[in-house]
Order: sequence, then C-alpha cells, then structure tokens
Amino acid sequence: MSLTNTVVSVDLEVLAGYDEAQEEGEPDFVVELIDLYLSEAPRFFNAIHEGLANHDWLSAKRAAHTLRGSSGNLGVLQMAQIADELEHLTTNQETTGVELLQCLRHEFSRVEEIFLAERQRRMS
Amino acid sequence: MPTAAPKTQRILIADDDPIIRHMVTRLTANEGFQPVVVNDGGAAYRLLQTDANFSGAIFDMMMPQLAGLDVIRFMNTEKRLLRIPVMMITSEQDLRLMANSFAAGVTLFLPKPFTPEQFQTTLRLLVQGKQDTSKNRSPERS
Repeated sequence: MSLTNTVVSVDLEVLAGYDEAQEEGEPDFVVELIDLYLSEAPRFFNAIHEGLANHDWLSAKRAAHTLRGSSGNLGVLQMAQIADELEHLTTNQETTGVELLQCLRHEFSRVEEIFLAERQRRMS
Repeated sequence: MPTAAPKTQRILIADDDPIIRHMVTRLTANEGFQPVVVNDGGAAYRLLQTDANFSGAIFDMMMPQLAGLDVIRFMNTEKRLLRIPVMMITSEQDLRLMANSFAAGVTLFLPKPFTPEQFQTTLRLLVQGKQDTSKNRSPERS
C-alpha cells in the first residue's frame, strides 16, 4: 500500500466547476452530484467487498475502477487514489485489498462530512 | 456562448456508472441535444438494432455485459450505424488500447477526469465532425 502521497480529500474547486453548467430554473447540479455520490459510493464498497470475499477479482476491480472514475471527476481525490491502488492490485494481494477497502470506508466518512457541509451551504 | 443544437438531435449515452451517466446526460442536454440514456453496453446494442437516429454516441469504455468497444464493433457491421460518430469516455491511460480503439472506429476520446467544459467542447467536435463527411468514422473492416 502506498498512500504516502497525501492529497486533499475533496477539491471543492473541481466540484464548483459544475456551476458553469448550471441552467437557470434547473435543480442545483452540484447538489445532485453530491447526493448521487453519497448514495452510490457505498454500493461500490459493497461490490468490492463481495468481490474480495468471493475471490471474484474481476468484479472487485471493476467496482474500484468505476469508483476511481467518478471520484476523480468530482474532485474526491483521496478516494480516487485509493480506488486506483485497489484496481491495480494483483490477484495474490487479497489482504491488501481488504485493507484498502477499509481505507476507502474511512476516507468516505470524511468526504461525506465535507459534501454534506457543502450541500448545506448551497441549500441555505 | 455557442448556439445550442436543435433539440431534435439525439445523442445516445451508455454508461454503467450512475454518477458519470447523470453528469454526461445533463451536460449533453445543456448543449441542446436530446440525450437517450441506457445503463450498459447491452442495452445500447439492443437499441441500435432498431434505432439509428442519433447524431452521436457516447460510450464508457468499460461496461459490464458489453463494453464500449464491443458496441462499436457491432456498429461497424451495420451500414446505417457507420455514420454515427462515437465518443469514448475512459479512465484508462493505455496508449495501445487507445490506438486499437481508434482503429476500431472511435471518433474521439475523453479521458477521465474531465471538466464540464472539456466534455462540452468534445461533444461539439464530435457532432460537428460528423457534418464534415471527410471526418466520419472509418473503422478498419474485419
């Protein structure tokens, strides 16, 4: 595991970039993306967990790959990095996979806090 | 600000990631296109069997059931689908994979992560390129 390159949890400037695509009268695009991310990320954790538990590496890696992509696009940088490491593990690194999944869940609690604060700021 | 495309121009979007799918759908609609959205390559394949009325298609490279490249390979077998330009969204950085994808008929690549502006610029290029007949997809025939 090489999580030594510390990056910020969330780059809110990336998220704010979606404000450019905000159309008048439409629901807040960023809030929609925050809500989707918070509801979907745990599904990816479950898919990774099941893949690791069932020795189904393909499913675990696919879930990590998807999580990496959507995390990166929303500026959720640390999770994107952990998901990237998970995706590129080899099949004999199951223990590391379990550890990385724990890291993802832990990091997600920080992301959730940041996203909920941002959501509240936008909705107030 | 560029003029929005007429809403009659339909764009097929296939992505299994609900977050990217929502993002791409909304950005496509903002550009004035009518997004037609499916959640995997298999659904795109089924739709394309009966519906070729698209000004462009946007596929995720890696999807369960049928990957983006597999859908393109099917499109290459149908003359009515050859005119549809395809944007491939991918988080892969593999140059060989990209080269193979262009050879298979991908019109444009958009690497993840991308910004809304990058997406919209690529979408405009995709559809404008289609109007210039010299830039239509010209895949290698198998």
